[in-house]
Amino acid sequence: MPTLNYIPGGLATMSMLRFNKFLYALFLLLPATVYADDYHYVNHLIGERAAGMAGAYTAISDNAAGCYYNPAGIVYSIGSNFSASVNAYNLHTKTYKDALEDTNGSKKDWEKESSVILPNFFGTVYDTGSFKVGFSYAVPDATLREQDQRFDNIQPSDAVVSALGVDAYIDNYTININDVDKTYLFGPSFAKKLNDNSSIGLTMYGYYRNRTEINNQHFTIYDPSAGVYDDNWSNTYYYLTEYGIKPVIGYMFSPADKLSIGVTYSRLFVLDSTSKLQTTYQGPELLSPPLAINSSFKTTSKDTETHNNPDVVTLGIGYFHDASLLFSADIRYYHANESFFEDVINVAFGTEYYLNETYAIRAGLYTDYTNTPDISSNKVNQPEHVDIYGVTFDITRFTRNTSATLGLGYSTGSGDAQVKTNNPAIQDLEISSFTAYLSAAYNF
Amino acid sequence: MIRITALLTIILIAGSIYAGAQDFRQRLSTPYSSTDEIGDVEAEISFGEQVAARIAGTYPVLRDKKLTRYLSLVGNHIASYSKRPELTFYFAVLDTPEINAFAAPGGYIFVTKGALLLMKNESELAGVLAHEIGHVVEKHIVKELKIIGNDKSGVATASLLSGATDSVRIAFQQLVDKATEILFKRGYKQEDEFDADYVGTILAAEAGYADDALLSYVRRMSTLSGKSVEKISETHPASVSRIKQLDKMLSNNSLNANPQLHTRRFSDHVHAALQ
Repeated sequence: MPTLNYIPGGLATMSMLRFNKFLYALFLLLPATVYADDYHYVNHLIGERAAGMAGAYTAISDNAAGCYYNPAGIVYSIGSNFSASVNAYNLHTKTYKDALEDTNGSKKDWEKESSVILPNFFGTVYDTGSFKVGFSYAVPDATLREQDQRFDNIQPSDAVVSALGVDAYIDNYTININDVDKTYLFGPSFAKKLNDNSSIGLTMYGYYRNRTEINNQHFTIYDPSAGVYDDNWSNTYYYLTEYGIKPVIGYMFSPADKLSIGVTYSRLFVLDSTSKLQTTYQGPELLSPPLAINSSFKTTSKDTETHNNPDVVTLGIGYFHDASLLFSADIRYYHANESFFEDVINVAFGTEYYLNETYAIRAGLYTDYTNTPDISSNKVNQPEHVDIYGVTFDITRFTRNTSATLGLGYSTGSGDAQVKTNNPAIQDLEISSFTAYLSAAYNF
Repeated sequence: MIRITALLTIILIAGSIYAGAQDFRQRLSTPYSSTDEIGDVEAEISFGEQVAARIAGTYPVLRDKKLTRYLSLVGNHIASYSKRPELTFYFAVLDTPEINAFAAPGGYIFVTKGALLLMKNESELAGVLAHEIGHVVEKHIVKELKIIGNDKSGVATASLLSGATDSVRIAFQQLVDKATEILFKRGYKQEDEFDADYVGTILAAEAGYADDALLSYVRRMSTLSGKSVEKISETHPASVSRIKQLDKMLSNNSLNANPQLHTRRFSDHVHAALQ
């Protein structure tokens, strides 16, 4: 009986153990392929100025995006203002190298792709005189994956070969996946100056996550000795809804002229989580006795700890060289609260330069390390392990009270994965993500 | 986590040692906005109140609610395009045949009856108001007299405003005297007048008015002579120079393709009230 390693939040739940192990091995690319946004913390950068600076914004935060990065910084925003960011387009690709093998022994890559267009930030800051009040809405994570793939003449698993002979092969392997996963944060922010030099702030975000995945796979096994084709089909529906709160506490101060330091603490508290899993399948009839199962079941669980919700501490430093040039750096420490996950430290560096009063350009570099352990060759169904590195760039045009920004971001990384169900083989995994965004801000 | 807690504690303690403002946050796109504005703005407004009182004491204020309201609507519409959202602008008409307009720091704008009667339409009114708003936005008097809220490198106006001794009051009155001297006798520096023409033209155009309205008004004023233009001639650059600068600016930039003159509306409010 293969061991099903625990993958928090994944489709590979206890219910899968009820499947016949042979049938389970047939569906090569089923349940272990959990969508790995839960395995990285920097999925979408928020805010037009912050995104251009790779998110190195904890010590800056002097506009509406400060509600998200460090609410203490919004006391330094000019007057009242609002900003809105639209992720014009995000394309995220994962390529599992040599994941499949055809009957000639040639290896094939398996690619998963997600593309999404969405507005990912809106924020406003209002000056009451004695303190600043803000409200913001952010979508720090969103994926939309629609796959329609087909492979022919695939080499079946060892279990099929041992049952049907070495000449058996899989024909017409069709995979259709629709996976939508979005996370929303929205809520008020408050900030107050302690003195000319320092300030504190609090953002109280409400949290909502909704995920729906439909995974449909079909293939035909051909037994050449009997000259018979046998259809096999599985359909999986997974649904997740979560509610919670995410407070962000911030502090900012200036230890010297032109220098700013910011510190924040945040953590997500999931108050309610509901998930459903429904699977239906038709097994192979070529076996003796035949495995012609046609059943479905549904489970509903209520579990507030389905995901890793780490304690996050961020330290940022900003150096305002002059009115044209600014440098910033952030260090983010994620302390995992699930024993399976590892602690992570990410860094980000950003710079902003004003060409003149009308145009400014920004650039940045960042890391997005994985929170999963290294993959071991003597286990199966382990989550993928990929460290990612990113670069950002944007340009802003200013008028008297408004600004418009066009930005680009690219990240990439390579690592390991076990994409085959109950199979200890490790594949190389390459991840890349491209983002183009538009945003606007207005001072009033 | 313990090491992080200790580091955070050190940071919190360090944060309370150094005391300094955060004007360094000011970016090139917002040249005259300060992150430490509250003290400076309060000082500017308080000082401007005193200067405005002097202006109102020199010339009587015309008590015509309808006309004043009209002026305020036009003026505040233009001011909404300025980069001084923290100021509230006030507008009033001075009951004198002199052709002139005045701006006190903090947003107090005055236009004389003589100037209003010289104008042809609302665009010209907008141009003149925008010119005065430009003096406030660019802080010409504030910078020249170094009106600031904290005692940085100049006179600590905040301390003057709250001071109780005679010497403090005298020092403050001297500042107000200097401001009125600029407005009534010496005039602004020439580059400040050209700056106000430039900023005013852009503001008026952004607000939807004709970009050449101020030029048209200055041209008409340059054809006049006598007592009505005596004061403005003493306190402003020669009209020829202003016309040349405005001409040059407008030939390089086409600011408003669809300007609104609102001649009828102007006449209904201004001519009806003053003639």
